[in-house]
Amino acid sequence: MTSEQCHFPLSNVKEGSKVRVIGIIGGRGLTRRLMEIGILPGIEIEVVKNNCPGPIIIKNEIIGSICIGYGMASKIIVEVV
Amino acid sequence: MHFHKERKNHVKTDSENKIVKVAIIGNPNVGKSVLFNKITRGKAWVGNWPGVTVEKKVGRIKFNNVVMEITDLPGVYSLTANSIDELIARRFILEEKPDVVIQVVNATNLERNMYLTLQLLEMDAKLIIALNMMDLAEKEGLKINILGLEKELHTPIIPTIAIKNIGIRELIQKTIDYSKESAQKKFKVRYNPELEKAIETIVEELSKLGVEGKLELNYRWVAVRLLEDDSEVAKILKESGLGNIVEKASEIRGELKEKLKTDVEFTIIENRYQNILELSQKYVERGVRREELTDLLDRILTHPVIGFTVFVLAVYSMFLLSFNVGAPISELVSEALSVYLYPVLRNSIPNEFFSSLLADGVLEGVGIILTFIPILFFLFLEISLLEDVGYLPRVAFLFDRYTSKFGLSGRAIIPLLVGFGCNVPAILSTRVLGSDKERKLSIAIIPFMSCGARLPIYILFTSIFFRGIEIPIILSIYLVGVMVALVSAIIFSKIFFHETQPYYIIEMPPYLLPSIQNILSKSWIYIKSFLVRAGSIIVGISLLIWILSITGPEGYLGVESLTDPEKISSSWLAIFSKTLEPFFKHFEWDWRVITSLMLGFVAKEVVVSSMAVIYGVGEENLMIELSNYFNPASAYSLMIFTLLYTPCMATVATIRSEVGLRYTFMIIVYELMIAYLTASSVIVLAGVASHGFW
Repeated sequence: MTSEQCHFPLSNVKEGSKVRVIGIIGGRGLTRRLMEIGILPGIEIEVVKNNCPGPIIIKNEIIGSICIGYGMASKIIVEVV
Repeated sequence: MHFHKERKNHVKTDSENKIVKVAIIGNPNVGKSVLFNKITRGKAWVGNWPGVTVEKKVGRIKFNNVVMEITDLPGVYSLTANSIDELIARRFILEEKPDVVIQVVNATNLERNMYLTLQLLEMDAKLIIALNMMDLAEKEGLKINILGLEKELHTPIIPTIAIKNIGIRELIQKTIDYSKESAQKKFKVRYNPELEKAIETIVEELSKLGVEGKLELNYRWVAVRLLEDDSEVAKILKESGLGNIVEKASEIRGELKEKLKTDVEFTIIENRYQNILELSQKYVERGVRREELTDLLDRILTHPVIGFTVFVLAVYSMFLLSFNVGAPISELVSEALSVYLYPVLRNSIPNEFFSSLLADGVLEGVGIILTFIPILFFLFLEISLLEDVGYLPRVAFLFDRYTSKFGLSGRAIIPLLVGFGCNVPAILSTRVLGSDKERKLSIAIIPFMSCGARLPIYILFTSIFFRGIEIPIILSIYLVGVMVALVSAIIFSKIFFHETQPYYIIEMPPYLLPSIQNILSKSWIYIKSFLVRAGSIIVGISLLIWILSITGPEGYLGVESLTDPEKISSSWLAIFSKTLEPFFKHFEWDWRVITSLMLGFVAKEVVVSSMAVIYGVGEENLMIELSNYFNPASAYSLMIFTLLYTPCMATVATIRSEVGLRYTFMIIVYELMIAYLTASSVIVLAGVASHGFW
């Protein structure tokens, strides 16, 4: 399995799992917005709730507990920790 | 955007007469509004920031003989100018130059909150940190070395628990003291060597030009912003004739991008977070996180089945309280006015004209305003309660997957449902929504939610023409409203907002016990803005309609025309309706229906009583009379038209006060159009159906 295959969008992550952010594939504005609230490459986040194809609740020490929409979540690329 | 351009350079020692200008800023959900209410003791002036539907609150207090003017800036995560909120906050700090900026920081979420702190410090804001929610931080086992952090940031930090009124006095005192102190050492955000070199080069360019004084900005901040490709700062520089520096910076940015192999602005963001993580490693000790209650409640409230059940119960009890407690009070008020005050006005003033002016014109408008208040009060009490305990974000999560298809986040479900009770509080409560776009979008579709005042019309007509099937027919009308609202949401978000999927970030704060004082003061602020901003328009419109009913081409008809079907038929209102008759021919409505609909603009329930007056029968005989003029198809199309056409004047006045005249006008035109088209298609469909059957 290549490393490409282990990478998937945050929107597909199962509830309760922990993942590491690889990158954001949105436009500049979206990427900036997400990075500014602490969704940075390399950090680990926990998926608390996933209402796929709906919003998703994520949590970590920097970000706190937030809810982001499906559109945003599908642009955050992660890998399983 | 121009704020009042008074940039007085006050002499700092002269503190007696000087107003200390304070801005409060912070991430969403850090307790900023609670803190603002505690500082201003609930006495705030609420308006919108110029040109946008973003709420602006300003309060003035006197503390130890010092007057402070406190402006509540929108909740923001950064000052990059990603959104209109960030732009407003940034411009306020740059242009108004508040004496002190208080950043409310959520102690349980220090790192992310500090991103904004660093940006404020880079901008040279005179910053005080209100480290709020200290009790929650303690519960979560967080230990923050406040003295150490204060020293390293060169920024005063006041621990607060706003909801319990703890630390507020200290914060106000510190703000006053600090406004007199001159700036000392500053915390410097460190970037990686390549970035530092680039920043230095741009700062040098800026200082070479000797624009000190001309450009009242921190050069290091300007340099960083240019490297982040900030179009606002570039514009300011270009306007000051410094376009060459913008170009130079863009060159440097290009070179850096090659070297760093990524966008410069992303590296800058990562670098800022590196500073923050270093600080938090030094000054924050993390214990074991304990959030059992929040986690448990979340599991229940966001559960696909239990969550929806709880939501339905919550909304149901909200309506129950408002309409079982609020509505009877409203009725008492309206009875007191019509039974006691109205005859007094009509009888005690000898001049017919003036007594009718006061009773039928002014009192009519004032009465409508007053009868709204009890219902508004209870609805707002409950909305504020749901907001303060932290329930709304969970509602957003539950509904988002459905509402996002229509360009709305899940939170919009609350204002929309409130619309079924009454459109006025629904429109005001869109303030709980995040963005300007989302507010405008929901405000445009709320009038299609069939409010309580439209029900009497449905009941009257279904009981004449749809005997036995009243309930399904009435339900179908509500359904048509919802469908039109959803389709309109798609149209509006595509045409005006160019997007269907809203991007948003909603905080999931821990559940909190609400503060009664805060809830009361929030509800009061809502009601006050309805009274102040919509009140005068409502009275004005009632007066206008009164004048158009008692005058006509022949001049003054006398106030009897309000009760005399003969006379009213020669009033301006009737004449105008008669000229519109051709447009309504296919509905088989004559001028009397059109006049009643126009009077329905005052308040939709007025349609029924107006029909009684215009057809010259009492309300009890109205049913028989109407059955001569209508058939099921034209009755159904009338109900649909009543549902969809221009909402009542209280709603229109509220929309205007929230989103401005132009957008209001557009909504009215759109709604008239939709009402006309939908009601016409009812007639067409009924025609097709009858031909098919017979």
